[in-house]
Amino acid sequence: MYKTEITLDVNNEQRTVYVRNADLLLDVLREPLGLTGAKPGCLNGDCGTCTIEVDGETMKACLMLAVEAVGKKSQRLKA
Amino acid sequence: MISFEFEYYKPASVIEATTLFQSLDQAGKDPMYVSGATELITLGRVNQLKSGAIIDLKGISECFELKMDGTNIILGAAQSLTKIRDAGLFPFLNKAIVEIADHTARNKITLGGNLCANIIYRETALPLLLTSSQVVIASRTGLKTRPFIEMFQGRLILEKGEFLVQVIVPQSELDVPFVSVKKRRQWDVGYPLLTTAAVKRNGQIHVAFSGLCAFPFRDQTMEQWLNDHQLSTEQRIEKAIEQVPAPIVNDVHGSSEYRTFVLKNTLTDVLNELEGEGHV
Repeated sequence: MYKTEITLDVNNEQRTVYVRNADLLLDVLREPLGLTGAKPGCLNGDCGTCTIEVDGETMKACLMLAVEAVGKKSQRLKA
Repeated sequence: MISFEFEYYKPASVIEATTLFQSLDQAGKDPMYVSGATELITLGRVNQLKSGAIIDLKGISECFELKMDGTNIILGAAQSLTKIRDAGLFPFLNKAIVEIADHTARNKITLGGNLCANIIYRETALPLLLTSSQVVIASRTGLKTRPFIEMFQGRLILEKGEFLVQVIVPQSELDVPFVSVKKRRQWDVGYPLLTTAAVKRNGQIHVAFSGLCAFPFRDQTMEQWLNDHQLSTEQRIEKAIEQVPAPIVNDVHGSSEYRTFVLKNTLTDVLNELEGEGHV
């Protein structure tokens, strides 16, 4: 299993993690980064329990690859 | 979790993307273009879709055009449905967009992704089928512009290695009266039973459907019957329904009989809206 090093800007902190290209942002936030505010619900983009804010827009973290989040200015979990 | 592994690329130009596709294809990676990547994730998670290399088009500036140039409305294929709606350039398309998925999902779903989706609805195709829209497609030999209605046969017809860059709609289409009606079994979110879009041009009604058959379509024979003013409204609709070009969807959201019933009522509403209540 090949992993890539990426740096994510999460809650105004630069966090470097090793991810598979296929890893969902939701799983990366919860597992290696330990940020459990985004909840795994339907994992199909329907329920919204994993909603976060990316570059000022709400996003479902289960519908986003972690590698897609590279370079985004801000990723802050909603309260 | 997506169980299979893939390589991830984010090219910065059209030529880089098409060249990359070619080399990855020759290497047997079965490459795939994505923009919103929502279907890659939802279908990939259940192994209904697989690729060894993903080419993310969100690095290509041409795919993010969103403007009027005085003659045309230019919509980049990698723009999210939310951004296209917020720009307010094409109200007919906005009406179709506002009822796709939910607001947060529309922040991720893109115009190109919806038009090329595996899911049967692809509602953004309806306004484009009913206007003289064009598509800009990237191929190995460069960009080519083609009429949307010619390139969309149930789904966008792209050759291997091609991808959608832009949709171009003449600004003159903004003056055409339109109707867009989405009917669900219940509530205001969820998959539709049927979406019907129609325009009236030179006294003739043109209509396109999504959710009725396994692909969005516009059918000239149906339109001929709908415009036959020697018949009553009810007869026109019944004749048009007889000409639906493929089996009517029969699924958990609604039986084909129920969809036909909804279609009949919707067409009555559409004709009333575009022709006036008193038309016979």
